[in-house]
Amino acid sequence: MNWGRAKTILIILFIVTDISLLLVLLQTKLLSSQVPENTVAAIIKVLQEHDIAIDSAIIPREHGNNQNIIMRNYFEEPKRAAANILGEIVLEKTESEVSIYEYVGTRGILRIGEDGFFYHRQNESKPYKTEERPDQDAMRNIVVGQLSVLGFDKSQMTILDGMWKDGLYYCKALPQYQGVTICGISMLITADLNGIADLQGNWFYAVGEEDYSREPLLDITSVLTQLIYWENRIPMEITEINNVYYVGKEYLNSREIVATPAYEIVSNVQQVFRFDARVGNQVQS
Amino acid sequence: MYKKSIQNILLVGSVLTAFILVYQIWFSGYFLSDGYEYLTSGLYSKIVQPILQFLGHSNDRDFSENIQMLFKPEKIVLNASSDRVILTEEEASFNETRGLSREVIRGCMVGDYPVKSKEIVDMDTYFSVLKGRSIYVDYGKDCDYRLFSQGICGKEKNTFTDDISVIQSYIISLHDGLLNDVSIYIADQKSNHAYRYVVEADKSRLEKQLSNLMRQTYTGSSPSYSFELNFHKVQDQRISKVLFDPLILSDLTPVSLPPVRIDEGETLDNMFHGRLTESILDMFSINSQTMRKYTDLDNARVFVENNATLTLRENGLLEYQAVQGGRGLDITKGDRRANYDIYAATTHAVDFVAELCGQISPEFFDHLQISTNLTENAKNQGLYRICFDYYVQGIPIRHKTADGYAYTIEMEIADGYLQSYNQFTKNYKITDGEIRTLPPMLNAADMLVDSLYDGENPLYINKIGVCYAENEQNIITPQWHAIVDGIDRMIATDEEDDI
Amino acid sequence: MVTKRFIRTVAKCSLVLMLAIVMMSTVAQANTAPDVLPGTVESTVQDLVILKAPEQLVSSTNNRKLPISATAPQGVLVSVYRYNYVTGCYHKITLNDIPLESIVGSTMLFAGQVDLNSGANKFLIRGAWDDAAYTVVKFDVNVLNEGFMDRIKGVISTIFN
Repeated sequence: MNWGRAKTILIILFIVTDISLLLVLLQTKLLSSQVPENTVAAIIKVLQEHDIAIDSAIIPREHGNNQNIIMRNYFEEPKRAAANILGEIVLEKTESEVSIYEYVGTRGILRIGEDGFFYHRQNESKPYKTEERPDQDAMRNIVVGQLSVLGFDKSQMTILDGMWKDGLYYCKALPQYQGVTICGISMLITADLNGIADLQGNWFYAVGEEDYSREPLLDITSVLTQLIYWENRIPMEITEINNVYYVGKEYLNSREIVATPAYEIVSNVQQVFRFDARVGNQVQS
Repeated sequence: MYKKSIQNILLVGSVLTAFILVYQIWFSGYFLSDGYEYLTSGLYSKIVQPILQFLGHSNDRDFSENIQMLFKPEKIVLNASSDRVILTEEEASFNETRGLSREVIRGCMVGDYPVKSKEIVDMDTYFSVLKGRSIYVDYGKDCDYRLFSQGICGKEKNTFTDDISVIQSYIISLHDGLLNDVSIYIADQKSNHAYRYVVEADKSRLEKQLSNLMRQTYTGSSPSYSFELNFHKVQDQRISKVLFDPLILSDLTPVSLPPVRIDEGETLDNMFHGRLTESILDMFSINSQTMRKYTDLDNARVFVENNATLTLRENGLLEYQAVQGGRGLDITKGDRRANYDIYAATTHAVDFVAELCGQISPEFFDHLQISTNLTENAKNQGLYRICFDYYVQGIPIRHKTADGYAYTIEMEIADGYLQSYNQFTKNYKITDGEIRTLPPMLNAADMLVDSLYDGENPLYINKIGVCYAENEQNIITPQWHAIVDGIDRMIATDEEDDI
Repeated sequence: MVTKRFIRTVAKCSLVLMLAIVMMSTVAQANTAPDVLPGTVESTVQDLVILKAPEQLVSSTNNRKLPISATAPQGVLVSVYRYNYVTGCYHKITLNDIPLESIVGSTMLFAGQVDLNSGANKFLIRGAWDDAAYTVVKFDVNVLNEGFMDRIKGVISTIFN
């Protein structure tokens, strides 16, 4: 028997088999990470039948990354955080058994407790005159710059909901990771001509991720379906769908937490829905 | 030649690649959508896993072996004429003596030593046997007889099953009665009847073995039972502030104990930061995909699921708590749940603890002993609390918490579901250092009276012995502890802790 | 005048001091009982000690060790003595040079153990507040010959087997 020839034939056969298998594997991986078009069309139809309008273009076809974001509490070491924010600490009062810390520094006062933190600048507030007000984008940049002076990492945040009132700028900062917003954690900001006048809320910063990419996230379509079962449903139009991460408020007094993937659905009637992207249940808005 | 080698390499390579790609497609989850994994899961669990287990070294023991390890006698008392020796696990002859007594009781159970006669005796007769040539094997807690039988002879039922429901101890009496028989005495804790079984056994061999053991171990002191001192009886002429269980052995000399310290290994570090976390989550069926996790202000790692919360604390405490009203982890592994009783609960508890300890630290399991009674819960069948102590040379270690002193493992099981599970995961060992001496037992009883006596009713001491107590600062000190009127009490012999 | 007053003060202080010394020495003496008691010793007060074990004042045993227990009020010094037929007195029992005595605590219990000689053994247990107030209880224990019992059993065993 001509073994050499037989081997050559076998090699060719196996290589062909390998190529087909590889193609099948790549195709299934690709398909599993994308939402089919017919599914999208079907869900749009079902939503419209229940008075929920949605444009096909806003439905994301790709799944987000299935990963947890590990986040550490910025105020885990209260004194260090206070030094960052206040500069030199002049006075310190702590009740560590009940986790309450109060500091007075050259910049202002800082109070840290289980329900979050509160910072108030020492100087009197200096409102912007109407004609001097920067536009929203510029003001956001100013705020981010001022937050970085107080020790926060500006590359890991986004500023939302900015509005002017009586010459003061009010907005909210949310953390971000790789460009994706992390909901559930926020700081409320009051800014004036002299910088940040008040800050309050909670703050965590990302330190790493845990990858679960072998398990795909739920399709957005299965999450959208849940809207039709919502008890207080009213006619609305869905204006935005975002991939976000989410942290429950019950964990905000921890040293370290994980943010998990979620879908955020925004409607034209100021309603925001968030759904866990792994199991599909609605989480707190 | 060179061409042939290339050909062979290509062939082998392409065949292997094909296998790898097929494996990826079948088991990666991409190919089969949710609900269809059963098509390949059977293949995996029935063929792939057994092969992996066969190739790997399996440390699994069966229930019989596990219950033997976890349910050992607390003490064995050898009595010959006036000489008496108490053997606990730290003594060199304990295992030999335990082996001898097991052989005899097992022989009686399975019929190797046939029972010649049986009668019910009163407790005074039972006590008097302990003063003669005898081996008294005391487990220190009540045990459902089926479990005991399973541990000794591998079967639920045997010769004594019709008479005994709950056992705590037994006596092998040599030179019993007028005919110098070998007899087995067992008191059934449920009916309060004491039985005497006269058996056919090789008396001379047992005599010789007993004599040898006495010679090896006798130290010159012979502790007295409470019934010999009449400490179990109220005296008419005088009020009694305290009574002792008749079978408590009183050593009237101070007790010396070596120091103990934590065995700093890698377990804690692994539990918090290493692969062990994943294994523990797996054991408790915590789905890493759906759980929430965080590190609290005390640096404890907390994993929250819909049904339960698992907490790993820096001091090595592992806490699992099912949601109130919820079911918790199913530990039955498919066994029937109907008429869930102590036998089933103990079986499942032992298997679970053995498996978990196998993950955390195999040597940890070797130090464990069941500490609570293994008997039916009369008030609420189906609901059981089973606790384990960590022993160092025959002495248990208890852990101070905000609520008092805790066992090393405490678990609550309701109809096969784990409601709660707490385990201190540290290992301990004897260390060099100053030997600590505790006052004699009666002095410890004096302290109990000082704290607990209400002026009217005598305290009843069910049990009293020494233990090591670890406080929240990880300082480990020897102490007396007692069960008084059914309640566990730690007795502070010098400083802080209250009773 | 002053001198007389001074002398009176010194005398009073000396008297108080002497009384204190006498009382303290009495208390000190109650921490240990006499090593030897006469064979005819009797109680001066009742119920300072009550024998719990052995239950009978005259008993028999074939064991070589005898557990002894008693109840006594808290603070009473309880001691155990063995009768010496040669001296006709009770001598305090010691084990490894440690006397068999202790002050009873809150449990109101005393316990000990003594070795028995073949034949008759006479003991005395004493409970005392001090050298003046004490109760004594005398009890006897006969040790049966173990060899004799074994011979009897051996004969019975042969008959029945």
